[in-house]
Amino acid sequence: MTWLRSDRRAMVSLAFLVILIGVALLAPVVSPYAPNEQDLSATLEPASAAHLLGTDDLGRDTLSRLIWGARSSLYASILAVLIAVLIGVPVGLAAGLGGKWADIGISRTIDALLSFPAITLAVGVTGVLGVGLTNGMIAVGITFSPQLARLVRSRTLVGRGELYVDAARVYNASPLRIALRHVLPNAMPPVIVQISLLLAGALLAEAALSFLGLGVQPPTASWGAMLARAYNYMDVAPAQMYPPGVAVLLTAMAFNALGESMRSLLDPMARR
Amino acid sequence: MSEPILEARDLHIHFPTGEGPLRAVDGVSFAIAPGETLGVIGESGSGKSTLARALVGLTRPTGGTILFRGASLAELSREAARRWHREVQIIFQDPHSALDPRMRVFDSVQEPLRAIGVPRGARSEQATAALERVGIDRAMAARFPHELSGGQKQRVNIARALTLRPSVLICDEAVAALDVSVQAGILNLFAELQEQFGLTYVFITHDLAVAAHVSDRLAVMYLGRFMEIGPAATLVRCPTHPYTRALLSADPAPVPRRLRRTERIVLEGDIPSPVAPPSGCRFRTRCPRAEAVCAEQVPVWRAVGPVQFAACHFPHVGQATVPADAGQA
Amino acid sequence: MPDKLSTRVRLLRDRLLQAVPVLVVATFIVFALLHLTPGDPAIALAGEAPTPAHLAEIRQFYGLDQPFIGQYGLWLWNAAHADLGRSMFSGEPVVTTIVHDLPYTLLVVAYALLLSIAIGVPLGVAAAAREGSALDVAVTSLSSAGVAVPYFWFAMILVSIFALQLGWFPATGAVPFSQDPVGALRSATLPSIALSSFGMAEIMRQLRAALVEVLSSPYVRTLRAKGLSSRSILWKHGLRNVGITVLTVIGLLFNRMLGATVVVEAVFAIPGIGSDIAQAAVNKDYPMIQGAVFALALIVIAANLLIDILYTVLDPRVTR
Repeated sequence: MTWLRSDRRAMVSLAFLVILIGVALLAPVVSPYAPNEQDLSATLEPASAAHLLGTDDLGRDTLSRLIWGARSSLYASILAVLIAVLIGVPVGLAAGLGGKWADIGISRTIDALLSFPAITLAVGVTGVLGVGLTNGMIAVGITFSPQLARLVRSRTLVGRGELYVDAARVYNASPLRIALRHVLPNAMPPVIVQISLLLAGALLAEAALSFLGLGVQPPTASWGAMLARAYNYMDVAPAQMYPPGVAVLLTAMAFNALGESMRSLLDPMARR
Repeated sequence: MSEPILEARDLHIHFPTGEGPLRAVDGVSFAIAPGETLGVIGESGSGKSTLARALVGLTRPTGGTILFRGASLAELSREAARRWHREVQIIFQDPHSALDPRMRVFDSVQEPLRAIGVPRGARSEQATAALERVGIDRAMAARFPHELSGGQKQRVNIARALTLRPSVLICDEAVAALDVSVQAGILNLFAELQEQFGLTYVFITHDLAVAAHVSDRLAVMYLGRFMEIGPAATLVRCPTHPYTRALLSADPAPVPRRLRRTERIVLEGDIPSPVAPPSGCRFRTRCPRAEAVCAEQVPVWRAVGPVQFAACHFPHVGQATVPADAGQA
Repeated sequence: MPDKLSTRVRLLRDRLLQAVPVLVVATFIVFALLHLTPGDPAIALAGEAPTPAHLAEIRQFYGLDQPFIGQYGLWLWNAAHADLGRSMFSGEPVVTTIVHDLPYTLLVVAYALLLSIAIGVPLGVAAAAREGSALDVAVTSLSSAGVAVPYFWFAMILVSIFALQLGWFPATGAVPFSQDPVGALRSATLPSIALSSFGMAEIMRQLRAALVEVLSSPYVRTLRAKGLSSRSILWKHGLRNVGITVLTVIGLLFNRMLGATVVVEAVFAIPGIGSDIAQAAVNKDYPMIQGAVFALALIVIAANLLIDILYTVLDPRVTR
């Protein structure tokens, strides 16, 4: 991939994410302590040799919780975006390929869904479905799907009018075959960019939901949950706020940088 | 003629617009014999591309019928429809846009076979054979469209059309977008394929010289209607319709040198809008011979020679040469 | 003049007509939220240990024994009469709570938007005018960070530094604007700064991109060849672009900020509508969830309509 070599930000971001995923997968091996191992004699300690990032209010090692939290947070982001894709792409395709009324109906529904502030809708759905990381991220995924649907729809509308689609109709390819072989692959590039950006958004959403107590449930570690606990003890041990916050910030930046880099990669090619 | 392979009867194709129907094709009839090449000449806006699309099923006629091998397309059985889709293929004007930019050229050529369920081995063979026939080797076939030249892409399009073993090939300005030097190569390819496979062509173009060169018969199209039709050689030597004469005067290449006029017929005015075609003869607004009757009555399609027909109230009948003072009766 | 007016009026009428089905679908979604719960909604609505009599009462009140459409109609009818039911948790009418709490939220969001514009616009314009300079790089990096930073984490840091350590602003709580404007603004400052983190970033980014495009257009290049400075070009030709871009971004930001407020209010213990939703979600207070979400959607739709109206004022050529 010569692209990577030319864009340093993308390269760094990708490397960061790969390492992060590696750490998350290898958590049992890499983490110095168990994430829920309490040591009530050493609560809210600052960074030390024994605890590189200090401890939280229950004496749990922050670094370990950070590592295990990466698991929850990454799983959450991927799950949410997966759901957004599974809902958004087919709906967008249907709107773009279907008749006028299907398009209008779907578009109005998309508009309606987009009228709800995202987190609010996620919170609302979580309240209804019940708390928990999976439910929360399903809610987030549902909240993200309209944007994807809209993007897929507009790309599909364009792709539909291409001459090679006409050519396929002449040799009597079925509409389904045309959709899957010609329209969808040509619609995907900006969708891939969007997916990268949505991963950042989902990460932030997970942190927000867990912060509110609606996502990950204690004692499971996630970056948002860590932020919530740190919040409660902000006056006594403000340093505890930083590890999870910085983790979210860096990961979100990495997803965004990758997405932006892919976007500028696609543009010159499309503008041919 | 023996049973025509492709026939159009009073074909109408109208598109609804805000200001009334756009009459792209407004009463076209013709019959093509198997193995024949019918050239259709027209300027832009004449409706020739719409006609082409209708013949392959991309646009539905609003009125009239298209018949393939005697069967009306509107009432086709599934089996007959399938046959038509395989046997009538089209080569578009833009060789690049006709190919999926994300697919290798070889895969694009295989697609029609995939669509009908030909298994991998057989369709790979057939695609390779088709590509070889048009002069694209294996190495080139593994590339993407943007890596090929215009001429090569058009050859790929032809190969793709050939995989289904068509009987009729509609060429919609198939060489217009190519460099002149490349055009000759493609035209030769068309001629070879016609000889080898007995193909029937509908050759649509605005280039009179090319049309006269490749066609057996020529039809002149203006604003959705045929103005004149006849064997290419006679049409070029004895054009009867004022529009045909004007076209030939602007592009005298197909006319034998000794028959060429010295003075050009310049048509006044612009092409009228297909939304509101002129009453009576639609060419009258630009015709040097127009009289009152041309606005009142639509000219009837009538014979102006043994196998030549025109729709005009004042055709130039019986003039083998094109004298310098043509334009007056 | 009359011609322009009638196109504008026609546009507005179309927008309004477009908004109606959106509103209807939105109400449907909100209503359907309740029915997403697994199991009997009546039990969910009743809360803890309901008696059969209580359940029957709830069923009757919400019309749960009627078919789905009937229930929807009933809910819609009530909503049109400003009756969104009663909170399961507090027993208060939902509408009362919303009306009471909304001003706190709107104050913070409005404040945040103003901050975002006040800082984002000048920086975005400056970055576009001096494309490639150190300032431009700084602005671009700042906006990348601003978009990625978790705003509630940023909020926590603000509280830690400016409230707890420096004591410049209160850490929690809010004061009604009508009672004490200065106090209200003081309480709203830190939350607004937190919200404006991504607001500023978006405005900077979009503005810069839009203006860079204007500046690199062939028309502008000829102007520059004639000797006009970037600044005067921007002033004349960029201004309309600025207005339209800012308007578009504000529409998006309003939506996002209303969402983000759920979390920010939690950090600052502001009794706004965000806190209502968060608490309702934890307590499974369905009428409250429905009512609050519906109110927010209503506000967003109204705001977008307003923005569309402003569009036509700014650019009468807008057709879309």
